[in-house]
Amino acid sequence: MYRYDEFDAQFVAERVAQFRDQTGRRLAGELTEDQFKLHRLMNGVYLQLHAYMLRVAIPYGSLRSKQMRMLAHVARRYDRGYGHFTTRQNIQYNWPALQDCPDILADLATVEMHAIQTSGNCIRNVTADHFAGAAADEVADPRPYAEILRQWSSLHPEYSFLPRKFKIAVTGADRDRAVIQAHDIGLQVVKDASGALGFRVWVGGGLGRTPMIGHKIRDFLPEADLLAYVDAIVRVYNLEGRRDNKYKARIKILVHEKGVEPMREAVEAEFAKGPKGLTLPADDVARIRAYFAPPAHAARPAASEIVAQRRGSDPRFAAFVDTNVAKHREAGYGIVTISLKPIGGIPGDASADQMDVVADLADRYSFGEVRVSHEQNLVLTDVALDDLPSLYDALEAAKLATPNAGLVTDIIACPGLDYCALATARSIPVAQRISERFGEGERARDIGELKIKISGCINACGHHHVGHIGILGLDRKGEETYQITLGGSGDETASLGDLTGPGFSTDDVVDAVETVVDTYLGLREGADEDFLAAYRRVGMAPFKKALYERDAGREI
Amino acid sequence: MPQIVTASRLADGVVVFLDDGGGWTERLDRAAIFAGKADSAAGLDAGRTAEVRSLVVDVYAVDVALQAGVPVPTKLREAIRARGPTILPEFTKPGSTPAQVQEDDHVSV
Ligand code: HEM
Ligand code: SF4
Repeated sequence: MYRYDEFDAQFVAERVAQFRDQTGRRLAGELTEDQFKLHRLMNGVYLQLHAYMLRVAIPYGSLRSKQMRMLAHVARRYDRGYGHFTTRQNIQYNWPALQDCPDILADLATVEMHAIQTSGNCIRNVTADHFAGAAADEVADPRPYAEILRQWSSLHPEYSFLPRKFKIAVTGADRDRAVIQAHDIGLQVVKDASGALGFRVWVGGGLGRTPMIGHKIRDFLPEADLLAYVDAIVRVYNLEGRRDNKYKARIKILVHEKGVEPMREAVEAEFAKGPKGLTLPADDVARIRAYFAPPAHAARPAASEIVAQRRGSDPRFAAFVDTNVAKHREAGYGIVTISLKPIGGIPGDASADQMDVVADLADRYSFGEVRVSHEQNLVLTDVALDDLPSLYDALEAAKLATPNAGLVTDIIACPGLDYCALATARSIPVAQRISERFGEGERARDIGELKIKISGCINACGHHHVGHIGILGLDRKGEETYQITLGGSGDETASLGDLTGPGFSTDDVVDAVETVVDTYLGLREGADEDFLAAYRRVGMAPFKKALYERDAGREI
Repeated sequence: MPQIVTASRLADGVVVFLDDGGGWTERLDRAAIFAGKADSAAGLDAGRTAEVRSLVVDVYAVDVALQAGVPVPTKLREAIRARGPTILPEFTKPGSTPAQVQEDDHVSV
């Protein structure tokens, strides 16, 4: 993984010192809230419903065990013993005191972490496939490119005050696990006919109040032109993006209003002006890539005897292997998803003790590295199959072995009205009730892959537009009301969900989700046809009928 | 409708309420209760002074209904803000629900 050089370390240390000074002056009354707020936000500190909230960047979702232990330390020492992993591969603490934030940032800096660019109208934390470097279907590890983009965009003088926030995601496989088409810029690492590395480029995706799927504007961008081309896109946006209305300020609106072709032409014209010193030297790419060199895998047999034996005697272990272990590019290894979605639990929350356990298990079984997925789970990317039984037992002891990755209970939910100052309804309790309704037994496994995503307001932090079943919490005359969308998808076939119709009350929403699931089970062509495929085949009609032509579906 | 005046304490972000003595309390049951909008204006003025003195931020008035002497906010958002996350009962704020206040009283007797 990437290690700070002396410049990175000095830069972060200076930022902590600056923020300590700014916070001190604010607490002493020398700065007003108006003067201070910008500095506070630029260091990841928001004011939420009950307290301040600190958002810490986890670049492309990769952590060393030492960093994970520091996240646990921060949770324990300065917060209430837990943290929330988010869809942007960051972690949020819900209860820090402002007066402690400089100390927290100083502690984080000791393990090369910070909260810079986790807020504000700048280029935010670059996200990547959480299986990067290990996935069997990968062309190349996307993280070196995410790191190059991170270095380029950190404190970029021209791009510190864009019209609005700007999010970039990178994947290295055809199977999109990073929702790249719902980002301002989405990049997919590909090879051309000669075997040279480069990128497919999407622009203008985004969720929020006006959701849009990105448009592909380049089929192949040579690796060396990565920064020059991204720079051209951001420059066109910075010049032409709307600053008169913050709800129309994202690049997706520019692309929409200008048109995809004119946007492509404007970007190409800007790009054609020359690379402005941004052509990537092959040596530098190689130097960054070296930080992400694969760990020293041992030669192992492709199948594990130990796993086969345990499977036979332990159905829950078998379920865990089937759902939570993905194919690794190396024989004899697997990629293990550690679900942060215990049945009835709070999606994405982990206690300090659990973080420590995961750090220890990463050291013992996965070369000391942990990933955070946008689905609010943790991942150990390089586990020898023979170690799966003992890893599973250790996870189980820490209540981290729920065998539900990708299933109906692996729900994404934003903090919603339980924490968030912008929320219009709660999201977490809805997720908990759905999770309890389906549980982790045979039925949930029979339903198969099904992604439910819940947001507590139209800002869509819970990705509901791209959920197979999306749930949006709204406030209708003082009552929480939940709209349901079907058929959204955040993968390489990205699509926005369709609204079923009128929303459902708190009491009815879980029944409504169950009705949708039962309808699917009744009409699928077999267990191989997952929910999304079935929806795409039959469309909305049968679901609408089931939902609204019955008494339980109270219309509002 | 009765109102209370609330803010977030600058140093730690904790939700506080203006009390009868013109200070700030974390306990909802000790919040000063204003008869209506016209009365809470004075409370908002006191809040603004505290803002200028960098004690609190984000001062505003909240509609409440009295339940067993506790001014419970009528809007869900404000009720959750006053009481704590609904998903973590262990973080329910002291003095924020009528049941709790009775319990506390009981203990203190
Ligand atoms: C609790 C404090 C939070 C605040 C105040 C907040 C605010 C916002 C706002 C205003 C937007 C809309 C941006 C736009 O449409 O231009 C947004 C979008 C988004 N946020 Fe949050 N958010 C919060 C927490 C989170 C959390 C916890 C997550 C992850 C679970 C998250 C991930 C996202 C994502 C993925 C989007 C949509 C993608 C896009 O920008 O198009 N946010 N957020
Ligand atoms: S979607 Fe709305 S409620 Fe949920 S975290 Fe984002 S801003 Fe808050």
